[in-house]
Amino acid sequence: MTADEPTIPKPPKRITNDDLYRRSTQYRFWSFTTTELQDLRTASNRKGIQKVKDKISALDQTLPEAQVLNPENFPMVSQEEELSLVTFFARKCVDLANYFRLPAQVKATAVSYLYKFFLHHSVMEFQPQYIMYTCLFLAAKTENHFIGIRKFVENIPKTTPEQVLQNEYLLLETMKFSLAVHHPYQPLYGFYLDVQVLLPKLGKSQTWGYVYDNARQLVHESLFTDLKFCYTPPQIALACLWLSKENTKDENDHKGELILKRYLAKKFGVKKKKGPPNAASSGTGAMETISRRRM
Amino acid sequence: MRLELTHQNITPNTDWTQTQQPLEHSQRMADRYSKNKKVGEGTYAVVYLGTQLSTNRSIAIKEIKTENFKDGLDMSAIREMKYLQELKHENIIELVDVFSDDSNNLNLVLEFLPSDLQHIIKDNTLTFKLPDVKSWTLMMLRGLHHCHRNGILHRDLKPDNLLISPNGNLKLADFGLARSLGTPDENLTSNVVTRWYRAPELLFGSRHYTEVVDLWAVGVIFAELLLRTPYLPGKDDADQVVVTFQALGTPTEDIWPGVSSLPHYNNIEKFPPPSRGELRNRFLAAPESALDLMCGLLIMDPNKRWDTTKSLMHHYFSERPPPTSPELLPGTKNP
Repeated sequence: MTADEPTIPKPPKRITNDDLYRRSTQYRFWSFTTTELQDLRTASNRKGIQKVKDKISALDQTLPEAQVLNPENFPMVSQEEELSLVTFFARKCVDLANYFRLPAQVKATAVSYLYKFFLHHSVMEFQPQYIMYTCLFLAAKTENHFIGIRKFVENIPKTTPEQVLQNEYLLLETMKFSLAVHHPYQPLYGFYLDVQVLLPKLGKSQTWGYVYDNARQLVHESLFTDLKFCYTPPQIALACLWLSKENTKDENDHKGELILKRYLAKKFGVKKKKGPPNAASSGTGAMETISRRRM
Repeated sequence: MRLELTHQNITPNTDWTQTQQPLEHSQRMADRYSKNKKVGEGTYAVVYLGTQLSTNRSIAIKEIKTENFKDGLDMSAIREMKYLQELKHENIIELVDVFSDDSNNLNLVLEFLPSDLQHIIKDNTLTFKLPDVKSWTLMMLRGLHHCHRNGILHRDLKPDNLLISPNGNLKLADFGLARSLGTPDENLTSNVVTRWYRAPELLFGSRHYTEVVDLWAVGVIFAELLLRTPYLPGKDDADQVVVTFQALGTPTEDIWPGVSSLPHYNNIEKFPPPSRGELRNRFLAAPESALDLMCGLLIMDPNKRWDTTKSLMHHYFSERPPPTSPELLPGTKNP
């Protein structure tokens, strides 16, 4: 700028919700591309394999077991198998949370902690069942639904307080001490209300209620996918609404998509025919991922 | 650094033995800071003054005593860590780092803030001018605005929790009682906020309050800055109700629809609300705009009480005199 030009005061910068989200630890520490996710899991899997190999080599070679276990051709758990195991225990985690009558927020946070832990560690290093207990115990604390350790272990057969607590520290550290997790439930509820405002007739119909309920189920299913690492909670919520139906048994039911198209057209002033408008297009990746997962 | 820490009842642990391996990574982290001097000890933490070795910056280290808690890491420590990790703002204490040391204690590294508003209010050698009060209130509201737009309630605002940096900036601290804004179906505990700063909905035992509980506290602190003495100093919980409504009038269904159905709204002595003239007499030096802001923050009905946006946009902050720059505020050591 030259001295002749009048200096125009800069308009004050508005902080948007997107700006705020980008400053969250969820965005800064826990958002990845699919390749980055893959790389993290490959590294953890290698770490696990190395640990097993080291253990086998450390065995007393005079023992008969040591001769049977040849580290070179010993079958190791693959990266895909690791993820399946983690998902298995993530579902167990929800069952356990249901037993304690914990709300959706606690369940979702616990599941998120579990997946985060096993992005950096292998199931060959840490027994996922025990890590799962620790995740649920910690999530109950971080989400304000504290359960005492005595009560917690009394309800889980063959568990001691030590088993649950000894990994709490490691879990915190693996998660880089970031405990706040944003889930799609709240944005989903926000869209549910906003549709009622913008499309009053449709919004108050029973159809929309069913579509919302079924979308909530899809959000619940999304907890067991990598969507949380790749998309923002509102994107996932929008994608779940798009895929939701009034009648889940009807193949040709596209109620969610129909309503959402009308809503987005009204909200962002975009023609219906052009397909998902910009605001929603970022969610289409999430939609595709969810669709694929369900097939 | 303040010496007081949140007090919580704890049962000493006897049966939990530490079985974890020290983490190499953490030990390297521990080497980055020195703990120079112990300045305080509470039930859940020991506070040290220290130095960040790479920058020679003064810091405070809150060492959380993990091994003493039978339920693992203490809730206050969890809240403090959870929320400070998400909040980076000029008017909120900075969580510089978190690390674990050789004995597996959790350490929160916080910026070093040598003073707090409580000390400044009590220091009789200092004179407050109106622009000084405006400056502190503005910084308080800015920090709080950042909490609220991130969906976080502080729930324990009081002068001792408003720390002052060496260059005069006011910063919200002690997030040990903070929580996320509740969803409509969630029950919240009304046993929050230090008594003198407790909003009427909390006094009545409401389980569904919102972020405006923090704005009531700001209103009471604002009044305290103007008066240089606590505004609503209840001796106990019952007295707090009397003191609050004596000063500001007992809320009724007319001004606050639904108030009479709150749990503790019964046998309440009815005090009339103060007239504008009475308020003006109590706050003699305060300009009209300051009284307007204070009344907005101290509206009984939480649905009508001002939020941070409305308060910050109020002309009290834009009209003359402008707020004092932080480095020129009373209590800030200047050359």
